Amino acid sequence: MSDTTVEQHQLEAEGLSIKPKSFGRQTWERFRRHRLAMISFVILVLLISSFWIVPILSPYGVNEYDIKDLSQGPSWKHPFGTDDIGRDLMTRTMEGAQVSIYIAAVVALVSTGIGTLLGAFAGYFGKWVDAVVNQMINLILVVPAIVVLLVMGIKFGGSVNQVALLVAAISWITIARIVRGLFFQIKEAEFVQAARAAGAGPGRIIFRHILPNAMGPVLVQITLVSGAAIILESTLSFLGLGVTPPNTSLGKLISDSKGFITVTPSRVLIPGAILTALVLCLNFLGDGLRDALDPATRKTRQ
Amino acid sequence: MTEPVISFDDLSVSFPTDDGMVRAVRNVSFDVEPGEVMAVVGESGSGKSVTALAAMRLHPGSTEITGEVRFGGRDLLGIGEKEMRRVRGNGIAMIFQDPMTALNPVMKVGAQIAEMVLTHDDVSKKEAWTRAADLLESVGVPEPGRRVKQYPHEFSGGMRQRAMIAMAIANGPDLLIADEPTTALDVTIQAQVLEVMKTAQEATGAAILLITHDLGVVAGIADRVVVMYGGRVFESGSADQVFYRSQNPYTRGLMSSIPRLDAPKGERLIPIPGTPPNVLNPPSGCAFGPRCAFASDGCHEAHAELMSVGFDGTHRSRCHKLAELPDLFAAAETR
Amino acid sequence: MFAYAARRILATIPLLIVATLGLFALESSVRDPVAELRVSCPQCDQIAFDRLIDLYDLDKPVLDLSNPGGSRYIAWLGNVATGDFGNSTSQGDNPVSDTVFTRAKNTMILAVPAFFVIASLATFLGVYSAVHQYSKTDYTITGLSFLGIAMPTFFFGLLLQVFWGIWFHDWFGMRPFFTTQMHDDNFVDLLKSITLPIVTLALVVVATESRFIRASMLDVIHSDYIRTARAKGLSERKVIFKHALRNAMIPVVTIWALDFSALLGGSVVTESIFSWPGLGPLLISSIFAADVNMVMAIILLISVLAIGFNLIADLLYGVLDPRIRIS
Repeated sequence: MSDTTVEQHQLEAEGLSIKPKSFGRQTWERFRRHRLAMISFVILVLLISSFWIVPILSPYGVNEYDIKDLSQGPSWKHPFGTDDIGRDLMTRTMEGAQVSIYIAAVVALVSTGIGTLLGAFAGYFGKWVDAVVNQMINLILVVPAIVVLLVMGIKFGGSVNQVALLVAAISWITIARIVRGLFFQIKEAEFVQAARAAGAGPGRIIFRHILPNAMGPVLVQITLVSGAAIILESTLSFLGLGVTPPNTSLGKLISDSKGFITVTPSRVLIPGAILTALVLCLNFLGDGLRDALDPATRKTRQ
Repeated sequence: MTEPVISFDDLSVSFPTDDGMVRAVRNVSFDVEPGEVMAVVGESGSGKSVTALAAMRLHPGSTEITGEVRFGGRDLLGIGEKEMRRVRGNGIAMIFQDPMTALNPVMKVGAQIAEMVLTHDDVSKKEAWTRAADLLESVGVPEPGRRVKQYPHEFSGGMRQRAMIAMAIANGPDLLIADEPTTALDVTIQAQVLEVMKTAQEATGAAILLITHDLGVVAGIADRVVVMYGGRVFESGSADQVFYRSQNPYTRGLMSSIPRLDAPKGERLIPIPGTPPNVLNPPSGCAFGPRCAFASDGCHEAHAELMSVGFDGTHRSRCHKLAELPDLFAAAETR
Repeated sequence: MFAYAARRILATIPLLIVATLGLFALESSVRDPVAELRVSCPQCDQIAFDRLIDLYDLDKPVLDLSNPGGSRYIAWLGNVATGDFGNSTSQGDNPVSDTVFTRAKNTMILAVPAFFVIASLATFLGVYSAVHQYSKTDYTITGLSFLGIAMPTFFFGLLLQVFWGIWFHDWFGMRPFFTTQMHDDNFVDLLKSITLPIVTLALVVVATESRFIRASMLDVIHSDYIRTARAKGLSERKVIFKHALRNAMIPVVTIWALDFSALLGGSVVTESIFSWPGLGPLLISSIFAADVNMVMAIILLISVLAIGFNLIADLLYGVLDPRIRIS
């Protein structure tokens, strides 16, 4: 290690010795300094709340159509325009975005649950438990994910919950792998040995001692998995295998607009831009969280 | 008197971090004479490695440097990048701390040494490889003909450091900068590597600037010593002067905190209390003041100047209480 | 090395069998041709039903372990082992291997140039970004990468269509909608058809890869041996291209292999958007049509490509990194 980095470590050590701060507080402060992540967080909150507020304020129903206004571009009357049977696209886009967000949340919840649990067991117990989890992962990975989703989608797809579970069935893998790797590392740490020496059982060690130390990277993954889930769902819907009417989603809206791309390009552009903004904000958020939770990755500006 | 190989004149180095400017080196001046071993001693954070990197100009781009580093009749801080490249590896060569990471893992050891030759000498590739094998032999690597074709991971730590030395002396440099060359090695290997450096120096006539925190290493090899603390030179002089007639509380503290085999049984080690100064926000006054057993109020107000002690001007020390030190030391001994 | 490769392939075969069995069962249950016929042709007699049952082997279960010979999956597997992938039920009664072969050729016309565009562009952007870390260009490249990763491929493809279809109509004569390949003889004509699909294919991959290469390169640039190389007096160009790049690209090889195999397997989204007659649209239409033989042949091809390229990547890793010896 060069003197420079030694000095930096010392700086941090010195800073701590003067004014001790809790890990959570330090993380929050570092996160706040990550301006892009902060902005993303604010935009994300605004976007998501608008998805629920706008339909309430809107004078149009989701499936209410007006044959006088077919395939209109954006106007004061219909800020996002209308579709080919005269439905107000702002209301529909918000409703579709609600579905996309709902699916992302379900995917994040389910895949984090399954992934963390399986990854934790595989990493902690190793041996045959690890082998079984590994083979489960390999089984899904042996055929590209999108192909698996397509074949499964035609059989199990349709309702919003079904699509969410389908996407979750693929998404837990990333989290399981990361948690498994973390458990392999942390289980050798001295505080774990100490807990074991104090007579703690595997359940206690896994959930009370190791898991809290692995939550940082898992938190980062949750944001990234949510973003990936939004993309996967929309791609499935785009290919005609996602949610089915009367439900809609951002991907479904774009898919429905494909044929009208030269007539009302805004029908593709608006939901697409919202989709991209959502995923972009989630990814920036994840990036900021990663930096905030792991100061070691932040290098000195050079 | 001969011209020094390299002379640091009022060198200051600062670099930005997330938390503010760090002034790592402050107004450091010292010379290295031809053929001598000059040791720069200090704890981590004392600025000793930064000083060495500044001589090679290997610091990050945003670093601010003032002062002069005179080598071969010119100021290295003022010459162009192209000219500086001709100095690196040719006039000044460097040996780094961790031989496990200092060699490129995907290049053969011979290729890495030959590259050093080819960069500064107009010879054929074949000749450069022959030279690489000869150099490995001269630093005591057995079977050099076979070893040149191996990758670094096939070398042990000591052997890798020998290869680093072979590479450093390839072009007969005037100055070898060794930055903690033995710190990462096993104790038994450390002595061997020092021996190799000494032999290499005798063969090439190069001066050595040895950066280390290990006083044992210094005692075995150094002609002259510079003690650094908080980015400043605290004491400089011949090895004898600094070791046996030290006129600085910090140097004294450093000496009495290391265990010695020849110490009388029952003698206690006296650690220096506290930690090295915060480089971002150093104490006002003498940087060592807060840890110094002899400090009084005056010490915390301004930092002391580096003053000559003795008559020939070769021994210098930085302390507010320079005049009272002999008495203070004597009193401390009897306590 | 040969033994290692053989062992790796043998280890994946059971996985492949279980995975294909699952997908076979799923795909076989998508449609019930007999019930459909009963609806669409109420006047049909039992002979027609029997013919249908015989055609699809509907009297046999997908997998019956007590009578493996009478299982549809086992029969399919046996035929595949002899190189017979069966006939299509949706594309006329032709052997699926013929159709898959033609479509795979079309996919390659997109995949091979796309791969070279991706590899060179991602390397250039990643290395440039790393070497000029925290510069304006670095921030721009990083920002665009984030955008590229966040933008779903189908949306980007449609965006290009909006651009070239409406706003910049006929710019450079690009074909934004029907790029159906009907111009084997004219290179410029072909270029007009494949450019937009290739750009679409490249976007996400270039964005992801350049981020990866940047991170890998930064790791290497901050390592001790790069400082050693600088201390030798090497020019910055030599330090970057001779010492840093080689080390930084070792982990990238794996990514390239996976991306290339994915491209060769056909892109469901991009090829569909641009109506390119490759494997992707064929897979989609076959899945909807419950053309089991066709779907399974494509899945098998895609999987074997992925497994093969993964293996090649591992072997290359051993060649590039002397610290790793595969045995």
